[in-house]
Parts: sequence; structure tokens; C-alpha cells
Amino acid sequence: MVIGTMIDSIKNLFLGASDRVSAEEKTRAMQKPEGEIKLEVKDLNFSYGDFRALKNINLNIPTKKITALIGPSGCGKTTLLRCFNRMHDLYPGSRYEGAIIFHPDGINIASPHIDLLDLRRRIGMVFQRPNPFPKSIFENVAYGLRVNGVRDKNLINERVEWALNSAALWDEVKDRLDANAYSLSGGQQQRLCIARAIAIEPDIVLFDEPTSALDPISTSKIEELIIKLKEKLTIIIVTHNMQQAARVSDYTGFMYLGELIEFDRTKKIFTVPSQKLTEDYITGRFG
Amino acid sequence: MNKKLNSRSDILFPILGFLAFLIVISFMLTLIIDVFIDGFEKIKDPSFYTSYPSRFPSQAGILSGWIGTLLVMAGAIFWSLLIGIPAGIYLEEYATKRGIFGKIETIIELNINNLAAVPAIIYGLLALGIFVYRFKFGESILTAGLTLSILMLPVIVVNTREAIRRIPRDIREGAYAVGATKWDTVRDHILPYSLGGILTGLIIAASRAIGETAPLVTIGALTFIAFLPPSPFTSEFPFIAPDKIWEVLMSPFTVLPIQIFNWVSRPQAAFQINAAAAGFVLLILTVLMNALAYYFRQKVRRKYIW
Amino acid sequence: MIHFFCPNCWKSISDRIIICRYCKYDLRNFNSLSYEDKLILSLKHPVKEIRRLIIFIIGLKKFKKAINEFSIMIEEEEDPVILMEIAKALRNINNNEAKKMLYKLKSHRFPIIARYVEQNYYHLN
Repeated sequence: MVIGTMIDSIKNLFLGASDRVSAEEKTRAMQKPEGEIKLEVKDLNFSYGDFRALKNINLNIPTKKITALIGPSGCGKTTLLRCFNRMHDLYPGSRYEGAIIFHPDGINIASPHIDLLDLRRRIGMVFQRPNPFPKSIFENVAYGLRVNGVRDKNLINERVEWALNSAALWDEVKDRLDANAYSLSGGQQQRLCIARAIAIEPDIVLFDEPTSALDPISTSKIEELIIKLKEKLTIIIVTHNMQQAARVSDYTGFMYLGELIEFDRTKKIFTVPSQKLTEDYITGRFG
Repeated sequence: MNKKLNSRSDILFPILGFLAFLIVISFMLTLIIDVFIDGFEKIKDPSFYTSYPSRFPSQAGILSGWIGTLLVMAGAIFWSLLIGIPAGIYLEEYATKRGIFGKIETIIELNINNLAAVPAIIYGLLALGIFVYRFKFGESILTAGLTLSILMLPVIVVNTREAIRRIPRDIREGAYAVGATKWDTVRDHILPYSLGGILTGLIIAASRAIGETAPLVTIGALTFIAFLPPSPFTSEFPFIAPDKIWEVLMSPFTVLPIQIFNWVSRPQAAFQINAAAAGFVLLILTVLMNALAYYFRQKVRRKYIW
Repeated sequence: MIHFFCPNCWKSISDRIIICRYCKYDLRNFNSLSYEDKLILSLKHPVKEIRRLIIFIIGLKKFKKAINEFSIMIEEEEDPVILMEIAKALRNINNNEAKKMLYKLKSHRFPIIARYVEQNYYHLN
């Protein structure tokens, strides 16, 4: 009986989310960002097996800005993020419908014919838990270059130093580049993973709750770094920490049960949200 | 909530467990000490290790036995790794698990575990049919190595898969996220990180294979060999003669367990001493292999921590 | 699994009931509340991170009605991080009332807060 009630309430909520909102209100909820668009998500549906994880997502990701995706756990924010570099394809049973247009080339990321290696070279990713390879610090950063066919030793050295510098890690590790990456602290490991992602000069870097496993000081270092990186890159960050979204991002999307409920400038989402659901989530009515 | 902290079962179980442990240990110690005492006379005699078998117990040694064991094991390890590691990697990383192909793979997968339980003599019969009669490899070191490698394969495949499964998903995803291909990931990550587990499995399998007698008797190992395979080494560069290697592979052989079996079945009491001494050598070889396994495990654990 | 809370007493409740069974709060009222009123209610949220976010948003909005709530919070709140967030929000709102309260925080019962306000908002000018 209890389970029945729970299922009912979820159905209610889900129906409420799409039915209650009129078409007019829906356009109000999806603000188009100013400036150049990097990724254009059009009617994206994504499912694994029989489970429809993303429903009719329409979203524009602005170039060289930080876009945050927030929402309660299980809302599909990480699922959406992992569509952008097609990480789902590592596991069987994933199906994409709709399109994700990657500007300026206009290629469709959701197409089955896309070159996944090239895509992942151009859209890097930083994961929830620091996941350096159990190799040396240098090799961790150089790895992306090596698998992408860079053989020139000097070039590799140069790029590794540049990447570690950009990740604000060079000064801490320059004397022990041969040490195992696991000898670093958690925060340093995560910055190493950022260096690894940016060493191959991607256009976009996806951050999947990059600070959820870190202490507050490491977190603020990573946040500073992310803000600095947007000078060169487009950044999409998934976070369960709304304050983090408010601190670092320019645009925020709020997701709920596989749908994008509202997308707008971060300041606007937090100060004058247009949707009741967004209001209730921000004020902690559910979570 | 009226359970006492030191309930009776809490006291009883450690005592029973300790008794069980004592039984296991005393079996092992008895075996080693008994064999050592019985064979001591021969164990301390250096010529025991450098003489061929003989009709006279006092002159008989295990030279052809331990060299045969080493050569056969080297072959068995080589072949089982050559086939077992790729098979394990395939099942874990590439197998589709969907469609008709997937069904067949699932059946094979289930049977790999069953294969480890098949009696060794069945493998001997299989090898006799395939390697000796079909491929005409003869009763040779090559055949013996291949036979034992079939015996070891299931254990190696299972251990390889387990070692691969222990690598966190994050690490693979990290590699794919910078544009690595599947082969890049297998070569640079999966294989090196699982090597410790694979080697541990190898040594476990080899420790079992080193004592096997039945399959080797089936394929026609000799019990009395008074010569060694030709040495493939030469004094000139590159110090190894390829044609000689083939000769080594095709030469007849004996191994320690067969030697022991042969001596035990003799009526003279003096041969029993030889058998005990050879048994002790075999035990030491097995213990050494297990120590090696432990060493590898520790080494890899220190290197790859997540 | 998504949990719902009563916006008045913040106990876990079903989203389908009309009256909170703990504090008898009428949830029909809640649906007609403005975002600002919801923010005020959430200042009592049991999760510290949410309280902190709400104070931060109030600062962003320069939402003056919340200052009254702040005056109660600076007496009752035990968490210095929240108190610092309140100081930041007051600084953002920056009307007379906010300035007065910020001045009061300079002699807060927590020395760490007093020092924080002194150093960040008074030492400079």
C-alpha cells in the first residue's frame, strides 16, 4: 500500500510537471542564452533498456560560459551530461532520439554515425570521484596526447606542463612528475584529472559533481579553477550543491524526473524562478 | 535485547575454529617433516640432484626429473598464458552478452568453471588424441606442456576475469573520456592493472599442474630417462640455436611426480628413501611457487591502489 | 527516491496530504505563497546547506523583509558559517536596517563572527 502511494505520488508529480505547465509558460521557462551557442539539444529522448531517463530535452549551451545542471538525485542531470560525450555507449542498451548539435561544425552528437573518438577528444570529462590512472603524474596528463597520436617528446613535455599549470597543479608537482598519481591528495588528484582532460585542448569540458568527494578547501580551489577555465572553454557542470551552482555558473538548468523544467541565467533562476517546481526545489521543499 | 556480549557460541566457535586450523596445519607439517626425515639421507647428497635414474638406489638421482619438470612447466605456463589471458580479456571486455552470440558465450562462460573440475586424466586422453595422434607431436616435452596448459587454462581464465573485474569502472571511463579506443584501454590499463591477479592465478594453476602425473602418463611420459634434452645454447651470437629448440621440444622426458611414482612402486626399501627425497624437492618447488604468488600479489597491491 | 517536507515544521511527509499531520499546517496555503514567502519559511530548514543558500539568495535579491527574520536568527543560530552568510547578505542589502544589524553583529556573542564582521566590513573603511 505504501509503495502504491509512492508510485501514485510520483506519477502525480510527473504528470503535474508536464500538464500543469502551459506551452506559453514552457517557453518562459526555457530562456535562450545570449551570445554564441555551443551545443543545441533538440527534443532529446534517452533511454536505457525500457527506462526512459530523459524526456524531450530542449536546451542551448552557451559558448565559453559555465552552465550548471541541478536537480534532486535521479532527475537525469548526470545522464544528460553523459549524453554529450556519449559515455553511455560503453554499456549496452542505450538509445538516443532527437539531436544534439555541436556548433560551429553542426555535427549531431546523438547520431549513431558520429566518430566517438573525435567527439571525446573535443568534449572532455571530469568525474565525480577523482579517477587518475595508477601511473605517474606525467603519464596521466600525457595519456590523452599519446592515444591521440602525439609522438613528439618535446611537444608532450610542453603540453603536460601547460595543462598542469592551467590546472593550478604545476607548482605542487613539478619536482615529482614521476611519482604515482595516487600519492597526491584527493583535491590534487581531481586537479590532475582536470589537467588530463584539458591537455588535449577540448572545446567543452563536462564536470560530473567534481567536488562531491572533496573537502571544502579543495572544493573552493576546484571552483576557482573552473571559473578560470571558462576563458578558453565551454563548461557544463552537474552539481547537487545549489550554492556551488549559484557561485560558479552563468546559466542554470533545473531538471526533475528526466525533464528540464527551467533554464535561465543563474541569478534569475535563484532570485526569480518562473516555475513553482523550481521554487520548491530551491527552498528545500523536496529533495 | 537480552543477548549477552559473551554468549556461549561466541566462546565456542573460536575454539572449534582453532581446532580445525590445528588439524590443517598438523597435516601439512606431518607431511613435510615425514618426507624430510625419510629422505634426509638423499636430500643432503648433492649427487642426488645431478644423477640420472639408475637400477641401483644409491646411484639413482633426479636430474632428468627436475629438468623435465622445469621444461614442461615452462611450456605449460607459456601456452596457458598465451591462450588464457586473451580469452579472459575477450570474455570480460568484448563479449556481447546479447543475441545468439551472447547465448553461446554465456554457455561457454558457465562451462569454463566446470572445466576446472574435470579429472586430469580426461585431459590426458584428450591430449593423447589431439597432440600425439592428430598433430604427431609425439611423447614429447611439447605435448606435455600443451597438455598441462589445457589443465591450467580454466583457472587462468577465471582469475584473469576476476582481476579485470576488480579494476574500477571509473578508470576505464577515464581512458575512454580522453579518446582512447578499446584496444588502447586494454593495452594501457586493463592488462597492466590486472597482471598481478593474472600472475597469482597462473601460479595457483601451475602449483596444481606441477604435481600432476596421470595426464602425463597417459600421453606416454617415460619413467626411466638417462639423458637430457640437447642444450639449445651455443657459444656464438645469438647464443641460441633455433633448430636445437625444436629438438628440445620434441625430446622425450620424465617429470618428478612420475619419478616418485616409479620409485614408490619398487620393492627395494632404499628406493623409498629416494622417493621421499624427490617428494620433498617437489614440495619445496610448490612452496616456492606459492611464495612467488604472494610476492606478486603484494607488489601489485602496493602499486595499484584505488 | 524523492522526499517531501512540510514547509512549516520540515518533517518528512507525503506530497498528497493537505494538512501536515505533525504541525497541522494547511498545505493549500503553501501553494499560493510567493517565492519570497517560501524563502522566509525555508530559513528554518533543518539542512544547513539549504539555510545557507536561502540567506545567499536573500542577499542577491536584496530582500528587505527578511531582515526581521535575520534579527531572530542571529540570536538563535549556532552555526558560524550561517552567521557569516547572514553578514554577507546584510552587506548586500545595505539599507539602514541592514547596516544597523551588521553593526550589532560586530559585538556578536561568537567572537569569530564579531571578528569576521569587524575585519571584512569595518576595517576597510
